[in-house]
Amino acid sequence: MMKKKVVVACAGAVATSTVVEKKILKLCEKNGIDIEICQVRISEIETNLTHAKLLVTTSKIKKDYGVPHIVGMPFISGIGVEKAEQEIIKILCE
Amino acid sequence: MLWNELDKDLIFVNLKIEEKEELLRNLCKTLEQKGYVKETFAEAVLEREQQFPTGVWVGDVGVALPHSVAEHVCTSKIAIAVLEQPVFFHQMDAEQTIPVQVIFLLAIAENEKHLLCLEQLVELIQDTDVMKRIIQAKNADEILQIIRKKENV
Repeated sequence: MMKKKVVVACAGAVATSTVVEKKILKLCEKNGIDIEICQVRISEIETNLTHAKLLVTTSKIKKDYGVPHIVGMPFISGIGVEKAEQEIIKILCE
Repeated sequence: MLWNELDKDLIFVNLKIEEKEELLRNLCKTLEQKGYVKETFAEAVLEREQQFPTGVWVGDVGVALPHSVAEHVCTSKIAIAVLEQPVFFHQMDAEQTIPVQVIFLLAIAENEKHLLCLEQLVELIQDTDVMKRIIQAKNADEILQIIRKKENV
């Protein structure tokens, strides 16, 4: 089966998105979902969305990119982690 | 370990300040005076905070993690401010502002380290009990001890 592409974006593509990326990788591994993560800056989202199943951002985005979007904030704040995890699994298993 | 980047002289408790920009400028100034950051640091932090806010609501308390890119930093340090009264920061992921009482200002000179610090900070701020104790701490030493204990140093 082909890996599912997840785009994770934050302001600098260095910090918060990497923290979120690691947590999503762990989650998917645990649930047997094979993913490939593409880590970008918010400004680079558009050019990296081809074939993406899911977009996760740590900052707010105003635009609808036509790809299911989840805010990765729960992975930073610890609030609502379970709900975010379930949503991610649901989107990726569809 | 976050512990390594902390410095007693960069931890402020019961800080009385009414506004975000003033707070950030003061903290950045302190780092600059000690030679840890360049004079461009403060503007870089303020600009970034405006463009990509760093406020995080972790349950009972608002936390902010302002920072700049590495080029404005000479020596990696983290300044901590615990305010007597919260000031308002924009949330990282939303338009709303939240009252923030604990600020971790990250001045990190290397990208790799920045990530590591952030991961460790995320662990720290997600621990409600630790955050509660940080807010109640009476001095910088207590905060150092709380973080040290959390990291089992």
